[in-house]
Amino acid sequence: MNVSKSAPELSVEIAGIRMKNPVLTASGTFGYGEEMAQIYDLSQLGALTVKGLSLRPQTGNRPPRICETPAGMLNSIGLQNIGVEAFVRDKLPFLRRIDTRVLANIYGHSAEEYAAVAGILDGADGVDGIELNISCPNVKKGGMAFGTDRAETGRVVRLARKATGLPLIVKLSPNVTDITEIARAAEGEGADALSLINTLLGMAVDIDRKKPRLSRGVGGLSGPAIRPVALRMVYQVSRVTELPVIGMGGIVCAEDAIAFLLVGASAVSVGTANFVDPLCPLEMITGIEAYLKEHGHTRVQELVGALEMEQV
Amino acid sequence: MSFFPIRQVTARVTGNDPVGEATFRLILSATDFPPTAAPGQFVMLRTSAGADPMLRRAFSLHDRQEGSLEILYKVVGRGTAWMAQRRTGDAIDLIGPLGQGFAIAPTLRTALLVAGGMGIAPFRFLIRSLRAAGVDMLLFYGARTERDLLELAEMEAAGVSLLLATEDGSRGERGRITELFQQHFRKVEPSEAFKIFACGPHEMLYEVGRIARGQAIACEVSLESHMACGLGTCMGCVIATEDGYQRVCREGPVFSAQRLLLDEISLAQD
Repeated sequence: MNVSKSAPELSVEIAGIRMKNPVLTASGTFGYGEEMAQIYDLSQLGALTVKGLSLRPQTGNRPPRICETPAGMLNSIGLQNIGVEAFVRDKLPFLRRIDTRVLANIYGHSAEEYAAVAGILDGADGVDGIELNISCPNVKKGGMAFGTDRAETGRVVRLARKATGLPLIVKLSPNVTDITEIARAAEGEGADALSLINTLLGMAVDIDRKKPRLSRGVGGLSGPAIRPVALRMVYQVSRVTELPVIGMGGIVCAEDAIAFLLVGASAVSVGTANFVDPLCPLEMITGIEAYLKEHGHTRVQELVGALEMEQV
Repeated sequence: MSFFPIRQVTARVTGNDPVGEATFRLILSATDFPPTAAPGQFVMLRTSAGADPMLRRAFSLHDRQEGSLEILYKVVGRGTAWMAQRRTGDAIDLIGPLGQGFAIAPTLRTALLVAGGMGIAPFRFLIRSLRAAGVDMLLFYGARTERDLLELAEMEAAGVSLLLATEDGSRGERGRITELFQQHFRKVEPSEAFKIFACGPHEMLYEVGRIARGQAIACEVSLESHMACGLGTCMGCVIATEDGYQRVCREGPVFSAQRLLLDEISLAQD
């Protein structure tokens, strides 16, 4: 085993966005950044992704919105957010001062609304890329309805593409029969990158009260429980697309992150683990660097898709 | 930015003693815990080494002294069962201080405290702060049974007048604390010198809030909610307020009772 002397290169470029390392934080687990800035220096991250933004402020779903499940949790927040205009006015000035990349996750009730939100962010100083959330399972209209249909995915991406010159990342839903079809539809309409997976639709029941544990009955499952599913989907998608893939789903440590890189992700995003262990993205960066040194790699890109498969 | 008001620290157990039925007082040494913590604020404790149970548990600060902090907890599930097994010297990972605590205005002269069950938890810290501010204190304290009434002698020693109620009548009045509170709550003129602080089950808080609102008396209630992060990022712990759903972990856990919506249904759905 070679041991490299100099520090390996951790920076990556995704959808034209240069990031200082391949560790991002996922939408819906990081607020608007300012909350986590109270506990550590966010400039250490490759990028952060803000909570899903819509054209108008959203009230969100009635509580209870979360419940713990084995090695994971269900959520049904319903995309409560302040709206894209308040984000640009009140939240972006703070984010501009942080030396990291900012990805804006956006969501609409219609393809036109996605395009409208993308258009508003297009002229906003401080947004480095847009992540199209076509995969939220917790809203009645929009969200996952777009991400589970090839034609709808294509239309949303096409309209958003026209509305913005910013790098466009499409976040895919795992709640489909064949995720590679949706990935190809997004690629065909001009997506610059793909991120996956969003949460898996799930449910939990309180048998004493004979009621679901979430107000809407169902919600999105996240956390280590979904990691093998996420890893498999990142593997499948990265084999059928030329686009860079941001892998996510139950990543809690450097070993998890490295597995996602090996199956084809160009970067990873930390979600639910931010709740449990807020500093874990930083440990992940250190851990990836140590792995690269130990395995004689000079650049993190060398890991991307480096999985060795037995030919059968 | 180099100052981080919230810290993730590894605390050491220096005490974890039973104080009631399945109820313990955990004393932690945490020298690097921010000294800025205020009464009503809380911490998020990791209650397993692995991924199951995964989420941290939220606990109000029972007390905070130089270099140490205390948590009063009842064993109700796997997380608190794990806590009850910790021994002196064990490490516990915690994040804090979190949320908005109780507001003690310099004009405050008299405080009515209302606690139901484990809602007593944040009051020792509050009582110490109120006492230091020269505020007179009357505590209405209710529980299921006598054994669940905790730290009575300590509070009396701190100069707090106690009015007690138990549901089974084993100590104080028989019935709920809100009934006792209502009986004793005479017509008080709204004043900057007078305030109600309440912590306990939601039904109790909403009832106390209703009484306070009826007479326009300042009233703060400390809410409990299932939380994933405690940091304001997940939006999971919200409560209905006049300003929409607000985070119990960040805009709370202490809210002005005047701002809470008594009828949550009135919030529009998406």
